[in-house]
Amino acid sequence: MRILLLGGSKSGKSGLAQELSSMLASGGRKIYWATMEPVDGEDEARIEKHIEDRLGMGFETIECGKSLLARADEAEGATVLFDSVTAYLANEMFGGGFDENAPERAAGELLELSLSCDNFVCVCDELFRGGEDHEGLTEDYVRGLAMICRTLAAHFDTVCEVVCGVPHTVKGSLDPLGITAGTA
Amino acid sequence: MELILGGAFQGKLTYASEKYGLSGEALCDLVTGLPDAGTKCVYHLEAFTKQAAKKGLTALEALELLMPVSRFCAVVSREIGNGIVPMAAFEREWRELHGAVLKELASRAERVTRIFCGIPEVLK
Repeated sequence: MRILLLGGSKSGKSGLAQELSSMLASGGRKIYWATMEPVDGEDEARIEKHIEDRLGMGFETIECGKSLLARADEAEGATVLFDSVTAYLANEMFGGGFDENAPERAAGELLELSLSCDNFVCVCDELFRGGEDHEGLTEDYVRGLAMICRTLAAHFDTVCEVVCGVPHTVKGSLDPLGITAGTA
Repeated sequence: MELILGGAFQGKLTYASEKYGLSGEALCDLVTGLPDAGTKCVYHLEAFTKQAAKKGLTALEALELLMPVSRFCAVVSREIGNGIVPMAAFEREWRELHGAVLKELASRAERVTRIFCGIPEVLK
């Protein structure tokens, strides 16, 4: 099963993704695919918090924020929690000088990675409804991120908006996991 | 009239064009002008409300320029109110006017649909 989870910051995306991944894996291998490349103490603290949250939940960790396919074989047959599309695109687009082709490449790599796993739970920030006038490269980034989300949404089984940790399903369902609206 | 909402780049106009089979002059981009007799769908409502806010119009005065909205199959608008309340006074005025215009349009619409990642969800 492939699931896309979108939500605002601190909406409970990662927590819900961990819960869904554990249910999908049902005792099998599960991998936390971390994409954040820390740039300051605030990032390091956030990573520490996420690692702490996952302690004891049985996740292996792959830290890879760029060129995903180089490590796709490690995820074969596992349930993968991919966190997050937001950071991954930023790395691909701005990590080594601006790359305008990054969104298309990232969408393709994410789809390919998702197909090599048993289950794929993918987290992305929903930052399209603030009305900000983004300038230049930020506008390109937001447009690219939206394109990736639309692409994944078209291919994945289930798409949810996460609202304070509760999934609001806009495509497919979480019924196979025993989750119906409002009961997560 | 169907009011079609959603964040930036979610596929709102594609949805409207495909659903109602619209192209060319049936579509009016409010960034560049106002609808005429042949218009079946207006889009970029947020650009229209921004101009209206610059002119100091009220929601009803702004809506008057689009009336009657029942002639449209669809009105397409970006949602802009989910960010932090902006520091700049004009940005706040724009969001306030935009919200008021949307609420009025939603009450007149037969259907209100939100597009999320290209996926429609009927709200009304």
